[in-house]
Amino acid sequence: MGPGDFVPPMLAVTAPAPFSRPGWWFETKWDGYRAIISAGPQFRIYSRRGHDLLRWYPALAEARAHVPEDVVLDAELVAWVDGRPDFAALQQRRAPHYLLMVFDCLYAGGRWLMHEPLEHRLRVLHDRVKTTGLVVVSDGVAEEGEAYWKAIRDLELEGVMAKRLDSGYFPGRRSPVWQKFLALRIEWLWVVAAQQAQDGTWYWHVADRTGTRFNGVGKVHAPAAWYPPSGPGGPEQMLKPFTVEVEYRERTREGHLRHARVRQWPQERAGGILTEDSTPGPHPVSGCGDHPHRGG
Amino acid sequence: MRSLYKGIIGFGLVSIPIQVFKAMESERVATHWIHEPCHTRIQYQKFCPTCERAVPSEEVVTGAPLPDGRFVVLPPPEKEAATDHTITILNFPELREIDPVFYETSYWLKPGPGGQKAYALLTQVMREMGRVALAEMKLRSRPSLAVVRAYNDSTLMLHRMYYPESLRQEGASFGADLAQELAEKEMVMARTLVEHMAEPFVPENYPNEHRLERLRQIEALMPTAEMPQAAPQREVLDLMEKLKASVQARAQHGAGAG
Repeated sequence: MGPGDFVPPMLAVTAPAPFSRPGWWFETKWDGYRAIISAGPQFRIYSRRGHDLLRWYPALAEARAHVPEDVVLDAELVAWVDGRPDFAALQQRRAPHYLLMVFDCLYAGGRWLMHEPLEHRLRVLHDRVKTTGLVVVSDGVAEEGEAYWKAIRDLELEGVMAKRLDSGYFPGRRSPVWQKFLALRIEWLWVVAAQQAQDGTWYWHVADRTGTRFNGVGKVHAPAAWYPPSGPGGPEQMLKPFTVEVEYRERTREGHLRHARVRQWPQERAGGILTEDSTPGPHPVSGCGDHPHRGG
Repeated sequence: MRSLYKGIIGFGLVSIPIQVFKAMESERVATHWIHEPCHTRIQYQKFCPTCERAVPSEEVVTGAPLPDGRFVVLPPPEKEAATDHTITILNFPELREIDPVFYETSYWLKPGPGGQKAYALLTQVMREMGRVALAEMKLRSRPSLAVVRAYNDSTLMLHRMYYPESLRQEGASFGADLAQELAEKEMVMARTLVEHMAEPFVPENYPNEHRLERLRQIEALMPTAEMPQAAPQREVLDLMEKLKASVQARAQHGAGAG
C-alpha cells in the first residue's frame, strides 16, 4: 500500500455528552462527505467506502495543484453555499464551490504516519499542506471541548470531533479515541402535507410515525425544486407520505423540531410515490453502494 | 493584437476605411498591487471624505475647479459614433519639418474593407514624394493633431501629436548666452569626439535590459506563485477564526460557563 491507494477512514463514536478534557483535540465536524485524498503516482480522492469522488465531483481535480506530492490526507468534502456548508447542495451536486476540509495526514515524507500520535500528524499536516484553492487545512482547539461545542452550536454547524492527541489512526475502525458531539440532530421523518406561503414557496409538514399513526412535529421549507403533485391543488395539500432527511437543533418538550432544515429528499419520487409501507431510511440515491457516504 | 477602433481617413473627396492598432507594447512588465495575506488584487473605490462612504459611479460627475474653490460641473461627454473616428488630412509637409517633441503615441493603420486601393495609393505616393500627411484626428472623443506616414512601402503609421501650444516655451532658452564662451580649440576637440562616435541607429543594439531582468526575476519566482484566495476560502477561514475567538472569549469568562 502506498500513496494513491485507498485507506478506509477512521470513524468516531457518538459521545453521550460534550466534554472538555486535557490531552484531547476538538475540531469542527464539517457537514459533508468523508474524503481520503491520496496523492501518489495517481491523484485520487476516495469516498468513505473507497469510491471515486473525482467521478462525482470533477471540479475536485483542481485540488491536485494544491496538495503536495506523495501524501495521504483525511478530509471532509463540503459544498460551500452562502458562507457555510450545505449538505443538500453537496448531495445534489449543484454547489457553486466545493472545499476539501483537510484534518489529518496519514502519509508524508515517504512513510505512513498512522502509528504516530495525532499531535505529530497534525504538526506534519500543518507543515506540509497549506490552505490554498479548494484545499483548506481545518483547525481546532485543545482541551476546551465544551466551549468549542457551544461556538459550533451558535454558528449552527454540524458538530464537534473530539480526538485524543496521543492516539494513532485506526483505518476503518470506529474507536472511542475519536468521539463526536452533534450540535444538529439528523433524522429521517415523514412528509405528510404541504402548505404554500404568501410568497409562493412551499413548506412541508413533517411527522414522526408510530405504527400507523403520524405525529406532526414541525414545518420545514420544501426544497426549491419541489412542486406539489398534479391534480386539484390549493395552498394546503395532504400528500401521500414520503420520507426526508431533516436536520434540527433540538426538539421542544412537546417533541417539535427547532431550526429544522431538509437535508435530502427523494427527488424523483416527489409527491409521495413512496408507499406508506416503506420504512424510513436512506433513500435510494444515497443508500446505494455507489454513492458517497457521509463522514463521521 | 486588437484594434482600438475603426475609422476613416478623409483625403480630399476620398475616404479610406481603416482600423487603428496600438503600435508600441508597454515597456512595463505588468504588475499589480496584491493584498499579501490572501493574494487578491487590490480594488480601488471612489471615496467621498465628506459623506464618509464609497460612492457608486452614477453619483460621480466631472467638475472643473475655479480659483475660488468652486466647481463647475460639466455635462457628461456625448457617446461617440463610429463615424466620429475620422482622421482628416490637412496638408502634406515633409517629415523633417516636424519636431519630434510633438509626437505622443504611435498607431498602426490597417486598411478596412473596400479601402485597400486608396490605402495603397496614399502610401505609395507619400513615400515617393517624401511627404507625410498632417491630420486632425479624434481618438476616444479627444481631438488631436497627427502625422500619417508610410512606415515602409506598404503600411501606414499614425503618430498622435500634442498640439504645438502645449509645448512649454520657456525651456527653449535654457541654453542661451552660453555659445560665445566656446573656444575654437574646444569645438575641434568636441567635433572629433562626435565624429569618432558617429554610428547609424540600429534598433537591435538596444534591448530593454531592465525589462529582461524583471522577466527573469519573475520566472525565477514562478514556483512560489499562489492563487488568489477565492471568496469561499476567505469565508471558511473567517468561520474558523470566529470559532476560535468564541472559545477564547468563553475561556476568559470562566471555563465551562455560558
